[in-house]
Amino acid sequence: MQKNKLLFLALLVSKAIRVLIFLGLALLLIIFIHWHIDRDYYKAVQISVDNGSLFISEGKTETAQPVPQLLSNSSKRVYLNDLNPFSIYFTFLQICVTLVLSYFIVREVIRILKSVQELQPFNTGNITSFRRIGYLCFSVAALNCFRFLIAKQTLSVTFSVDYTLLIFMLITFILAEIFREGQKLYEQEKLTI
Amino acid sequence: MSIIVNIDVMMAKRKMSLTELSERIGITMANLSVLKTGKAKAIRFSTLGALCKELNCQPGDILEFAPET
Repeated sequence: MQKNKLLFLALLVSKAIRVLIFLGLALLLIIFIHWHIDRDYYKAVQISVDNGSLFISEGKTETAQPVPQLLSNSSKRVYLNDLNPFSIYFTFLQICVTLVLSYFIVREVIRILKSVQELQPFNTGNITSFRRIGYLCFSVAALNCFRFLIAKQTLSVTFSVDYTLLIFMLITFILAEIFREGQKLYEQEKLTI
Repeated sequence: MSIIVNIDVMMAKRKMSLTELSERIGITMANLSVLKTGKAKAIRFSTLGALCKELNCQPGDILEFAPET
């Protein structure tokens, strides 16, 4: 009973995350379209890259220099409208693809949880799901390992590897192998009369 | 498979149907069918014992080794 409750909770959380990812993607698209229509609305928005993570904050336009502390090594912060369009499109695409890949990861997790809830965990579908999660994690890590911002003839490239995702990828590949063995044993048990 | 299951032969000799045998030894018709068609990967001693008891035979009468050519 406890197991089922936890599984139900995990399934619920996964579904909520899936909805949040979907909403995040929709919101990002809306902001991106709105940015094209009204760029002045975002003139105070600053983008900064810290340890490979992208931060968006609202700065004060009155006090800001034309290109404030432009891409110094410690704090790579720049106004959104000062960025080269290519840099913006690239970053937007990077975030969108990451969200889509995350959506697929959560979808596979939901599939696995459902099969466990139905007491059929050792099937070929779960092995494929674990392997898919592994590849998707690797894709997300590879996609987000570098960020680059181009602003007013200045280029900033940040390279950082998310080891958590890589470790998670390894764990899912190991789990896939464990489930493969489990499936073999299950098949054997099923055909033992 | 180099092991041949001769349940059908023994059942015919004892004039016993699949339903009757499955009821007597307490396994499902589907499982008995898997055993009969040679799809089974293994057989439990308990099942073999029950089969021998109900068919009044020896394990050798049910299982036969045939070398693969």
